[in-house]
Amino acid sequence: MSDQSLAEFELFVMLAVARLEEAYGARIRKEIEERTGRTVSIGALYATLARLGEKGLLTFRHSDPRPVQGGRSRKFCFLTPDGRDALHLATERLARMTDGLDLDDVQVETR
Amino acid sequence: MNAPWIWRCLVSWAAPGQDRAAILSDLEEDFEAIRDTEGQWRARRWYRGQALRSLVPLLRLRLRVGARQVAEARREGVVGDLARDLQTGVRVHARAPLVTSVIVVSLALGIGATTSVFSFSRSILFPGHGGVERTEGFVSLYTSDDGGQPFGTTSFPDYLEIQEAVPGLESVAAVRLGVVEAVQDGEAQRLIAELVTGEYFPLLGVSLPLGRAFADEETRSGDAHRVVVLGHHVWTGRYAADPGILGREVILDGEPFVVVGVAPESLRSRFLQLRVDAWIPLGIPGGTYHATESELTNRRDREYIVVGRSAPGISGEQLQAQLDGLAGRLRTAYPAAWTDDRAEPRRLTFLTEAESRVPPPFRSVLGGFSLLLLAGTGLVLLVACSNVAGLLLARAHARTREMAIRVSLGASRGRIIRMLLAEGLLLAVAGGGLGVLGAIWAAGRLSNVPLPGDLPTLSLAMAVDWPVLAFAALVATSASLLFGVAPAVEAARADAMRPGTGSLRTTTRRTGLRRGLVAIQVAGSVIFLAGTALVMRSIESMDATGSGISTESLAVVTREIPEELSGQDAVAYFGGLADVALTDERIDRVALASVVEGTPFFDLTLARIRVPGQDDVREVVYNAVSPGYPELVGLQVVAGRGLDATDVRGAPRVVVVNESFARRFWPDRPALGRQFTVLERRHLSTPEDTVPVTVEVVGVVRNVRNTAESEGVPFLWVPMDQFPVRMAVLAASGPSGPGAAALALRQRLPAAPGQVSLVGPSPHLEVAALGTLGSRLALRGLGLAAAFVLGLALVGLAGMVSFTVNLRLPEMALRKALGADPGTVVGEVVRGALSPVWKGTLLGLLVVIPLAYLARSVLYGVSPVDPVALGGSLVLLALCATGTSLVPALRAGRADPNRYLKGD
Repeated sequence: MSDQSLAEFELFVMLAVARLEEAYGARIRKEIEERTGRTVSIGALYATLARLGEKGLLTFRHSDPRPVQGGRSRKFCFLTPDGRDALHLATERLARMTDGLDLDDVQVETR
Repeated sequence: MNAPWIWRCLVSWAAPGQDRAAILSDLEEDFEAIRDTEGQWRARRWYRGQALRSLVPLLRLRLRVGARQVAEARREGVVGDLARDLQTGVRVHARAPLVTSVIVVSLALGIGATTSVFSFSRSILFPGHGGVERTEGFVSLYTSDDGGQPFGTTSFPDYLEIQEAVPGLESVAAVRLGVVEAVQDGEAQRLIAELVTGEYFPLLGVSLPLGRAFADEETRSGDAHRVVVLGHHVWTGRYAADPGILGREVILDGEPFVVVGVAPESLRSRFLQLRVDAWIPLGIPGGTYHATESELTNRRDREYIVVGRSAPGISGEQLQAQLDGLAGRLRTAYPAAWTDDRAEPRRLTFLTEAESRVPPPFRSVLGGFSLLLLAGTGLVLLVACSNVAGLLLARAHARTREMAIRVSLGASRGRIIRMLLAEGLLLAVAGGGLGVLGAIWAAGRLSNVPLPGDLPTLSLAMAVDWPVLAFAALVATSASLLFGVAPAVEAARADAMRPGTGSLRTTTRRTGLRRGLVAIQVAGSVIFLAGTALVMRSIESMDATGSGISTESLAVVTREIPEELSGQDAVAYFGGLADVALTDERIDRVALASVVEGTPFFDLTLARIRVPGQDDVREVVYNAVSPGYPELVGLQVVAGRGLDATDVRGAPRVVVVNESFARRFWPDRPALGRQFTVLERRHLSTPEDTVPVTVEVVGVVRNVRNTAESEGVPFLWVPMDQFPVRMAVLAASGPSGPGAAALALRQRLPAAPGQVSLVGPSPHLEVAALGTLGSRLALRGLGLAAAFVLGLALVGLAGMVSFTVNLRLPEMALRKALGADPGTVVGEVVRGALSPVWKGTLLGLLVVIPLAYLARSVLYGVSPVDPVALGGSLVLLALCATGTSLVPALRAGRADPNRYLKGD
């Protein structure tokens, strides 16, 4: 069982990869943007993908160029078994941390 | 595709190469989607935003990826180059399999031969401690011999005196080497045994891996038990390391012995570090090799190696002083036994464990031998290296063109050297590996010296000498690497415009060097071949029984008369045994003797005689024999008569002597009819033997040589009837050979209880074998080296001739085209090939003849310029050289003009 903790953005990327049938740069970026409402730069996404790849959580396959004029290749991303374990762990931890917690009732103090 | 090109370019520049296409593609996809829904302008603005925000992370990613790639590339670059070079090397070597295999074999032979010859001599010259686990304080003790040489063996009574009377020694043990016959599953086998006193094992500090050493009471003289400690290899080999061996019985010399222990693997004999098969307590009564009464009581019977351990705090001087004191007292008490042949008192000396490993009398001989061996090994290595060098140079020349092309295509010199080094490395690894395997194999072979007859194989403590192996491997592989890069030197000069081979414009540059190398190799082979031939001839002449007798066809058995019979009954008793033996159809002739010339016991029978007119008492070897014995062993009477049936008890006492005897005592007069007095006979004799008797010489026989050393020893034959013995040898021959006769003797004459018999065919061979042991060892080393070196030289010659022929093929073809006879071409090539051969031969002879004169003392009956040995080796060399050069020469004769003339 991999015990690699994931940063927030890494977790988003992993979840997007897990969710998407065909996970590649544009799709992942869009998925995260749509679900989180956060703007994602393609550079940051690829840097994160590379880091996750180095950690052994993701694996990649470059597709052949799309069969259209000027068609380019896509970099498809897949979870590795370690990646899936890491994702389990991260989401479980989050769930346990938030379990029974009503954020509306949380006491806050203004400065 | 309307993405703003400037931002596209920016992204493209910033993105790492592997992801560039995918990133641009992703941006494109989104750009198109936005453009389609929100319009061109928004899409462009989006694109710009993406590009700007991605710039920093992409650049960082790119740097990270780049750094990783650089590191990987650096790692892979060197390995990749090496891998490529090795692949190329394999291809280059595979293209010329013959040359490659010859180089590899040369390297292997050079490394293997050097290592094994050196290891072999080292094992003899610098043996290990041979299993002595406590070396400090361990000493070997010596009694000076008849000639006054200080390092002789010691008699058993003197050993007892040393034990009693030298307080500086806390413990003393006696040991002697012998051969016993072991019978297992009906199969008889000779074993090398050491007969030891009880102190022996504790004194060496040996702990037995299994069982125990001998208990005190088991080794006490006259009361010894029949127990045995087996050699480790016997236990693991014959008995499959069975721990249940303890308490089991083994049959040695026909008697059951109980196994009480197994010796550690490292334990070896103090003599030449021979491997010992069994240890037996000294003093078991009866039996040939076991201590007889005489051996244990007679001070003149010096058979024992005595070892001791000095008491703590005793200095060498103190110990020597105590030994001197004892020697003085012994001299006073036993003046006869303690006076040597020069009428000098005998001395007692000691050597420390390390000093005693090589017996001092052998030291100088072995030292010279080792120098020769060292020189020899150096020569082998030199020949091997010059061989490799010659072949690599030849190959370098053949590759001139290839190198020129590589240079013209831009290969740097360093790159080419790296490539050639890789090729050399391949050769070195292959040759070195084979060499190591060869050395290990040869070490196993060389350490076991087989002796003819059914003597046990002598096993020396020899192991591969790893430092030498490393040195030889270093030298040989350096040669292959050094000469392997020769093409690079060539490449520096290479002119791509002037291709090297296959053209009429060839060069004979540096063929001189190659010829020189061949000459060196040939000289080396001449030295080794001639040396081997001389030693072989020497052994042959020692083995040959032409100098006297032929006992190879005899079977012998030793028998002792039962205790209750007196010496007077001996003749009748032994005669009865002979009659029984003759009833077997496998035996047609039997004779009796106290010894058979050439058996291991021949010098056990000594007589002291006084010749009238000469003052001193002399000790000579004598043999009491039955009528018919001289004929059976083929003694040749040169004057007078042999002994016959008329020489019985009561008749005038007669003797037959050998030529040496006659010459020694009556140098200027005929010996026939001379009389002298036999004062005393020793060993195997009856009590009457102490009475002096006068005898007359009735015959002279040709000298019999038993060992290399015994030529010229005075011998004396007396009729057994007149000089009875208690123990005799029955020698028999039969129509079906000595093996069948020996079997018949064994069956017809079973040993009486308490008697031990030694039965075996060909006793003569055995002693000849022991006498020629040194020569045999030398022959093994030399023969091996000769075979290696000749092989190498022939290979070198073949390589050189082949190379020359390759160079000159176009020329030969042209000459053929101009009408030259192929025979002339072949003849010329062979002549050219043989020119370095005869030069090398001359060089070799110039070295080997003075060497042979220096080593004259070890050559028995062979002249240093023995025509058969020298001529034979030269003829062999000439035949091999001609044969070797003929193959490429014939190729030259078949050269096709059309093929070579087209190119020019």
